[in-house]
Amino acid sequence: MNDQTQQLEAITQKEYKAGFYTDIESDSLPPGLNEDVVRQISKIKGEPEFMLEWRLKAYRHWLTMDTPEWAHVHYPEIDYQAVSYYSAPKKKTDGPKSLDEVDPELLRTYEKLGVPLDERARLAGVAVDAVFDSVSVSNTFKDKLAEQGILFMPISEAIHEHPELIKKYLGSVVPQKDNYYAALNSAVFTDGSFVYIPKGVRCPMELSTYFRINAANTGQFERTLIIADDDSYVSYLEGCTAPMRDENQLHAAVVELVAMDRAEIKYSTVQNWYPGDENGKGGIYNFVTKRAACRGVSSKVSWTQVETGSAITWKYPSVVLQGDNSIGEFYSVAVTNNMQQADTGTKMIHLGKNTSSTIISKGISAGRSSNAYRGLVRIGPNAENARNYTECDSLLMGDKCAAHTFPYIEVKNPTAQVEHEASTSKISEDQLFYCKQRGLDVEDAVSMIVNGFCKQVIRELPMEFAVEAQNLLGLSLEGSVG
Amino acid sequence: MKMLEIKNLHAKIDGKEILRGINLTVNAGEVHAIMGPNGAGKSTLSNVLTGREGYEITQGEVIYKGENLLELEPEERARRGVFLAFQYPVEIPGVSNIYLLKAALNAVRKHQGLEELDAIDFLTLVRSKMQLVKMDEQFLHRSVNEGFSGGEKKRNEILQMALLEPELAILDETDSGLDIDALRTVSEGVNALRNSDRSIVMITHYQRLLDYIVPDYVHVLSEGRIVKSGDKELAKELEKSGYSWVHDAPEPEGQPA
Amino acid sequence: MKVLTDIHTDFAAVAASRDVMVEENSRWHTLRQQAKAQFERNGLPGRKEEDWKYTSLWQLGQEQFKHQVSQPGHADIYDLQLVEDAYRLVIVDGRVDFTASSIDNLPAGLTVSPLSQAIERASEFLNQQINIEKPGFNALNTMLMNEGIFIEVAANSQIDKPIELIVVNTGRTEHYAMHLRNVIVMNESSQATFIETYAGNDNANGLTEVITEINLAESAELFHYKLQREALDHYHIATIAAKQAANSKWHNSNISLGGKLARNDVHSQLLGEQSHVTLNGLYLVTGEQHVDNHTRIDHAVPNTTSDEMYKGVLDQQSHAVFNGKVIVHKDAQKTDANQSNRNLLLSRGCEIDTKPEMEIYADDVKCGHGSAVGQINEDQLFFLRARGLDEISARSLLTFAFAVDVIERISNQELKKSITAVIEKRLPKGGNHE
Repeated sequence: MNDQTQQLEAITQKEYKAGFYTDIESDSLPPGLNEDVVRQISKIKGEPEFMLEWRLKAYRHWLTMDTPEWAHVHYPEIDYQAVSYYSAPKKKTDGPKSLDEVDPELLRTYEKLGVPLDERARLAGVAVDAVFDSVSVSNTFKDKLAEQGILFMPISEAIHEHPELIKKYLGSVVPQKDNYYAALNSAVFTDGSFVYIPKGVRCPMELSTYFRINAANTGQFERTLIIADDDSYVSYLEGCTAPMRDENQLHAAVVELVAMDRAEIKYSTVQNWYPGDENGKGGIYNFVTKRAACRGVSSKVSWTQVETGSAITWKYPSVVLQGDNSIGEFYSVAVTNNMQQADTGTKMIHLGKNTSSTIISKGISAGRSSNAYRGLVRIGPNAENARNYTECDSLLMGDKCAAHTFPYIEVKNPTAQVEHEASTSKISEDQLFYCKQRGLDVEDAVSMIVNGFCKQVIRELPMEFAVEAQNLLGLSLEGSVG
Repeated sequence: MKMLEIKNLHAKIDGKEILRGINLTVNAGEVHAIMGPNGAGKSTLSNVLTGREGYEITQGEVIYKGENLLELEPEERARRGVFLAFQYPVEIPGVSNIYLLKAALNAVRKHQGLEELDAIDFLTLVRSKMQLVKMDEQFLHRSVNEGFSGGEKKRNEILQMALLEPELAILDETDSGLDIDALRTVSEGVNALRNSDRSIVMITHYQRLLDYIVPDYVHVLSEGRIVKSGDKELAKELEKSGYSWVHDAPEPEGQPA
Repeated sequence: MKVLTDIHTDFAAVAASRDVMVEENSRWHTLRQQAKAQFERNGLPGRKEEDWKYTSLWQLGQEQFKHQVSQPGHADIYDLQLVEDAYRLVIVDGRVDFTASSIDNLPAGLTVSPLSQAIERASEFLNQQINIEKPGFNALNTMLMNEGIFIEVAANSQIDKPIELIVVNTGRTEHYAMHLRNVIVMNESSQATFIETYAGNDNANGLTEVITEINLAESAELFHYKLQREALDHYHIATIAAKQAANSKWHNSNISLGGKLARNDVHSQLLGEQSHVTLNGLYLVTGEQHVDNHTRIDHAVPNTTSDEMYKGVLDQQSHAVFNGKVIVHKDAQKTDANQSNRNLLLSRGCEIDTKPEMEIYADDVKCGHGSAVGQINEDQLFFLRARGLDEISARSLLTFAFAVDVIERISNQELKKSITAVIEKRLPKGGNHE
């Protein structure tokens, strides 16, 4: 092994920083999945009948499905009967009415995570819905947002308070039968966030949810639904962590976004689930279905993701461009290290006229990891003048990792213009030497070059998230981004 | 004061001996030109002095301000004031020029025990240095050397030199790829940086550069040895008679991978 | 494995009748038995199979192909030969036409013969580059192939003239199916040019199913051109697979113009250092044609290079598929691989599915690919019309300009000229570009 490879390995082998476990009593269902468990979940949540029916329909269909095998990832078969489908911090009262009533252990957890849950949050203009294991524990600024008619609440509450919106939109973008994990999620999801932005409202602050899996042997199945009505705008941030555990844990979330006429949704994710140790032991299986419908004319959805965690990532945030002149964007940095495996990308489905999409994907593989981009660009027969531009670059750090590109391009309209470019490279010795000759140590040089590589994506993130993302990339890059 | 002392330096690349006993002393404030035909070992010398990987030092030593230079990592040499203006400046996509400049300057300042410069002081400083090489401020916000013309890249090198204020600057074929106007700008930049504490070693194939940056000493490098030394008149002589007299069959120089 | 269950032709019965061709217990015979067992297990692939995702074999499965000629056909090959002076083998309706062929005066170091007359030598090389377990036609071909060309170039021989194979389906026998195997053996430091043409009369509605296996020993070089210009009701299924030793070079051009359904699987395995492959492709489809090109390049060792350029022009209701896979195996450092696929869409109703893939397991590599889908540039079109060209000619010219760099890569000048002429005839006379 040459010096450079060794140095790169030293740099890429950093410990997981969010890997603490919080000692909070929790109520859990015993492991296992059957119709009774689905009924139990619905009952604990006190759900109306229509939700139970909806869940059971999903569950029954799930039983007939097979796990998807086309992704470039390998893992032992998951025993779905060994997973607990419900875990909630034990309630001391009927739920916290203010921060004082929240379990201090929990608050310390968020502090460690850097979640601005307290007063600092308001100053930072961030409203947080934090999902701990399976339930929402706190939701700030609800009242302030309500003044403008914005609904931002746990989805379990929305089911009670706004059943008409839930009936109309839940499953309208990702149907229960969409895929194996979406069906599972539809049957057993316990919480998640719900956002509704009324017509003409520009959400005055970034909305944010932090997800954390805490309890052992628990699957997390959150469900997020965001609806942006005509002429509205919202920027939504999502962060995720989990403690270090030797067993693998399952995370199968569903996120649905609906953008009506001229509405815009910006959805940013920094995903830092526990990736497992350097030998591939433990870590989260992150099997997530995220999809947006640009239903209205001139609507826009932009996905930005920085994926550094999880043992396995299986995730394709997609946009269905139904409305004429609608726009879909996907900006992604996926970092894999040690034994991590990622198969991630996007789908841009062009149905309306003059629709356009942009895909910028940056994959960084280190250690013995495997990192695959998988994308679909489909131009339907009626999508006149559709445009897509895709750029997908891989950076390899070390000679034992792998990088793959699987782009699917399907065009059925002769007015379409689709362009796809992909490249693979490593950090060149010339670049490293140049930086070192200017006095930078190798760690800073690598960090700087990697961040330069990811710049197109990082700059899409809201400011405070961009900083977190850079830290996550293990890099100190103030100033080189922007 | 002795700035740099090279004693009987031998170096190999891929098992092939390129430097075969270099002896050279450079005092503070002096400007030395090292000339030679292709394959003489000029680039190898600058790479060995700045610590590029891939070279094996088989004999000899290099003393820089009393310290054994060869034991230091490239970045340690840089922070102690050894600067290389690259023959082929490297492109780093996505990294803005201003970020690299700031990171480099602060690395040197930290080593010197100085505080890091804040954004405003830094910008003021950079602006003053940019005038020296007639660079437009837009270059600060472009990616390092990406899409720069040959002349812009070389001016960017001299800008970095001006900012980092090295004690020993090695200019590797700084004139290559420059038209006459760019050559003049770059040379003026370098000349402005000449002073009694700073030594400059210019490595060049052609005499042309020496019309603009007049050296105190000229050395002829051939087959890994300095075969002749003199003052600036030696360069003129070379211009007239070429390199053919220094050796009959030049061997190809090993390029670093 | 997801298989196509509905196959109307009884291929197994045909295989039984062909068993007599080879000696029992010979290598060839054993391969046939294995292939038969494999085909009986797997049949033909369905669309759930990733490699057949965009190409349905359902219609092919519905055909009742015939494997006996009712009347011997005759082809006038003068119109089909692409170079005047060549060592030539002509196969008409599955049989070698010796009068049309010219393989009598071969230079030293060159063997060219019908496969049926080179069974012993050829069988040493059979199924070396293909895997009968792969979903597709490898098993079928292995159990049914009964003719083809065998070429061997001795070490250090440079062959002065191109070797040309012309395969014609005359259409005299309805739904006539040919199963051919070509074997090319290039020994150390040999060099040759091989041209293969597949053609047929306009009424031919059969199947040409062919596998070409190429073995390139150290420092061997093969210039290889394939032109497929069969009738619009014909099926064409082809695999071209090469194994390349150190320093060898394979320059392949693959031009698809004809057929109702044409599928090419082109595969290079770069097994020796400094080996190189060029894959050029051009497909011009119209009407309801379906063309599918699957290419795969395995960079198995360090210091190998590949360069791939496929271009397509789609008119009317045609459908084209491109799937290019580049695999850089572990430790194959210093690989330089470049791939591009560009498509020009001329009319409403056409469809392109393109999938340029890379799988990379080594870090010190230079790999890139690009693909694009677009249409004729309206500004260029206007410019040409402003210079006096009518719209149809202008479109035709711009379409040719799009395709020209694939043609430019043909190094044999005479061949370039004749292929250009063939392509010009096939240029769409302007699409229905509403």
